[in-house]
Amino acid sequence: MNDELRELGAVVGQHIGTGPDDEQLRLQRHRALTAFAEARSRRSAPRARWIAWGAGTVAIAAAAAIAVFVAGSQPERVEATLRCRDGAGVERHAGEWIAAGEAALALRFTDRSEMTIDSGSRLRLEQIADDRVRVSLEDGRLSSHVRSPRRAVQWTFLAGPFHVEVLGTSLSIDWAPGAGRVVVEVYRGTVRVRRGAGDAEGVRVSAGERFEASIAPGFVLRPIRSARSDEAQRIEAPADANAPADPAQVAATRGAESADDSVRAGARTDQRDPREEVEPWVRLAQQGDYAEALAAAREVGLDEIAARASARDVLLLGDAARFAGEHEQARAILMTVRERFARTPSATMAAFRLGRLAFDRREYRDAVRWFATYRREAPDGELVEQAHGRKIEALLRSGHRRSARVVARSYLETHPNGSYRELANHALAEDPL
Amino acid sequence: MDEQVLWARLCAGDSHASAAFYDRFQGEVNRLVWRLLGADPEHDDMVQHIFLKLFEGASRLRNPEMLAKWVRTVAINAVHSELRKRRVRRFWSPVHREADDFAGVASSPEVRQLLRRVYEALDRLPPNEHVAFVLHYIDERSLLEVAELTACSTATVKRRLVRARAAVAKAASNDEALEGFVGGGTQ
Repeated sequence: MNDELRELGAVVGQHIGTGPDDEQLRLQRHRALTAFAEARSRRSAPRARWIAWGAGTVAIAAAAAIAVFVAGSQPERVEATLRCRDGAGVERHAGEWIAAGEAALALRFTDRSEMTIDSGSRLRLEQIADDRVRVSLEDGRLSSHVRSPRRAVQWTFLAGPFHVEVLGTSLSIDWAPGAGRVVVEVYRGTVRVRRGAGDAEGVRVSAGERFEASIAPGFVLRPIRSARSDEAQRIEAPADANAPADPAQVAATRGAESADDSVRAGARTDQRDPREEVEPWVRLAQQGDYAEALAAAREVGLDEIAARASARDVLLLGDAARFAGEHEQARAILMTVRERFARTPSATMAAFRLGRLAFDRREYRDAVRWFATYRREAPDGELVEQAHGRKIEALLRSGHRRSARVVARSYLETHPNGSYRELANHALAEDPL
Repeated sequence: MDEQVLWARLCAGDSHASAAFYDRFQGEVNRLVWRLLGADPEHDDMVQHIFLKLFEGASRLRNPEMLAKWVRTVAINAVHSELRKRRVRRFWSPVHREADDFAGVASSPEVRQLLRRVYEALDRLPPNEHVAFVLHYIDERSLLEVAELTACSTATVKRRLVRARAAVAKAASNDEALEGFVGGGTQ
């Protein structure tokens, strides 16, 4: 009996093999590493907001020191030709559009510089040459650690009309085109921010400082904890600046525009007035303290908020419940948005989030239905590419491979350079024909 | 890179280290999950879940010399926990494996049918016995190794294997695909 089972085990072991094929392993690696990067950034972000900026900077400096130590322990090896690869090891070329989906996306350059694109953000690699790299941040947030030795490579980031020239540094850039607002935070080294190529002077922003500006009549340096904090520099913008001139935008807090798609996908059109009194649960949710936000909202009454609050706030409450892991509650709240704000962009956004929620719960059929609803209701919506791609993934996971192939074909026709193109190609590769 | 250096860099939050760590253990974790769950549709999710646990738990590892063993143990525990959850779910809503689940693994319909039957039989076992059976008979690990990986004595592993053998033999008595291997009997 034992020998027979050994034989059976050997046959099973021989046929089952040791894991999925290389293509699946490659996708798996990409997903796992980006999920980890996302989890790490999610964990550190709320804390960073709670801790005083000074402590935050010390932590970043410590991380930078470790990175420098680690980098220093490696042999200096800079290849002659600068190249860029993503977390999956795929080479990315100049001219390519890159969008991070649900998870953050890491890019690594052969001069050991790194860049992380936050979830939902997108950029274009405008130029990758031996002596210069030029990246255009289309929407969202990126953080970068430039390590070019002896400034051999000139790095420039474009965010709308703003040019951020790197002089050897770690930094992050937020660009919200809807609000016309840019936020540059410098952790190490110095950058120069120019308002367009014609602005010869620009503003120097050093480690520990933060620069915020909008396409309003003037942009203002808002230092954080620098010795120069009371020397806010100001450069007058051209008089014909074409953006809505709301100076309050400049002072808007970052919390009101988290990197999450809660804001990215529609609520940006109804920006919160900074003078408006913010309820504690809203503030907590904006800070990313979802469990605390939900607890505070419960004190007010979830039904009360869902019945009376604005669409933006109810969507935010749905996010808080979702990220706090209270999926049933999140679903009920998002369904309220669908009912109360039917046939509005908020209801459409709720459909997308219901899709994500169903996906998280592995209810793939529901996820497919909600992503289809989003695409039907917002054929030109900001998240239509994501909804299309996620639908492929949900179909694959629910075992509907034939349908997945059909959707994958239409995805590649509509979004040939979309962030789900690898998944779409993977779905098509399974086609026995 | 030496495993202890890798572990230290991972704990320091070095993003290169997480990629290196993943590359070092991807094969091992995939092999364990793949064989324990059997070409499961949620295989990738499981592997991702395990690596997140590993990344997050690395700093709590007391003896970095045991890194490889710790990785295997975390993977097995995670699969064990998943099997336990599935057992509860199956109680309320039975799920059957399809031979097509193994379409990407084997081209022969007979082999696919055999794999399906084996994993169906394993799915009916308590998770402890399922894990012991796969590690010993399919992954061909010694009793001592299985005992170490599942944190129990070799005597316990033997008891689990005896029960698992009996259950598989019983399943084989009514199954053409398995009958040829275990004689269809309950010896």
